[in-house]
Amino acid sequence: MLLDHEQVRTLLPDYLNGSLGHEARTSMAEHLAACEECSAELAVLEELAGVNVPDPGDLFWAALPKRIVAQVERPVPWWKGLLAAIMRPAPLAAVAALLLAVMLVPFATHYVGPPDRKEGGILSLEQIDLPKQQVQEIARTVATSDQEVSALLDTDENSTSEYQQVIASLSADELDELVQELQKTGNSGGDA
Amino acid sequence: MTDDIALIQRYLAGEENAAEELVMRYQKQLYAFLYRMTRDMEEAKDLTQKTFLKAMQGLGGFRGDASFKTWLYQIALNTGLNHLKESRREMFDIDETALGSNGDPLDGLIEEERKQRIRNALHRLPERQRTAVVLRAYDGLSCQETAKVMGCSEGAVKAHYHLGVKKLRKYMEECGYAARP
Ligand SMILES: [Zn+2]
Repeated sequence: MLLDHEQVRTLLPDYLNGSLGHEARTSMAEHLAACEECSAELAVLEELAGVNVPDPGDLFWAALPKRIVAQVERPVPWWKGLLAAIMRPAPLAAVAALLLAVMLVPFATHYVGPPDRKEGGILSLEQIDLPKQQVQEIARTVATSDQEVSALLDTDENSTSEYQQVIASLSADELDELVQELQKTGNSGGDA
Repeated sequence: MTDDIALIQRYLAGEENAAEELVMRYQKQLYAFLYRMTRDMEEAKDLTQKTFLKAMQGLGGFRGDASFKTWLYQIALNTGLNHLKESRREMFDIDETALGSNGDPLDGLIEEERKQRIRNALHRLPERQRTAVVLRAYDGLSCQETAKVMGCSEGAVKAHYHLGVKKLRKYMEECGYAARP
């Protein structure tokens, strides 16, 4: 394999960290032995590699995983909400779907934290950053009738239900609780 | 070794150990990355924790279209950049005196000072160039992974990276850098 200067320079970090295959490594070594410019760049990277970072210490590393697990509000996987919704008594279907929408938003908007519920706060499945097809699928699975499907996919102000208002105003903890409630109802068969 | 996706699924199914395992797996490299962005140990520790909290919180929505590692780096980069923006610091703010404008050859300096100068040279790079160099040279991310983390094309990553290394070399040469024997 014959590599030009630019290819060699692009691959230098991989060459240094040993992630290249045998053939590429050999070609790199041959090129570097003959090319002063690329070798100079290799020297720059070697110099960079020598710059270390201060170690916060074993205590920090041992404590961090536990601290994070303790602090994190357990994420509810979207399929759990869905599962609960499928097994729900009818009136809960809309709640589950909306809940699902609210839960999905923080994950869909590039980790900027919880959705800002002050501004417009009411969310619908349509507003979630998921492929349209997937959104429709979710809506169809959760809803019991075509009417509900279009209600879920509708962002129209007029379709704002009481459920939406309530859910949009909940805190993360309250949402969690509601999910658990839904699941309980789902598991017990939901006799509405 | 259990793969990341399996650990994520176990965590979502209620196993807290799986989350600890995920954190342990990546904590040191994320900390190092954040240290290289901030050059401050306390800030880097804090940002590492924030990054993991955001990641764990968002795990239910992790769709697996990028690797978990790449996804973590995306969060770390965002978290680090936001932090620097909030504290009104430039990514490459620099103590000019530490760069050695008097032309002392680096070879004549004690090891720590030599390292300090190189660290400073890195911080003189514009943000995108520096990020590309750090992710490629220190974190061992491929061009493709780096592009995902930075949210740009692979071509752009290569351009940022090449320009960055070129400038580093120039800075080093300006302050008397010579390859060690
Ligand atoms: Zn060359």
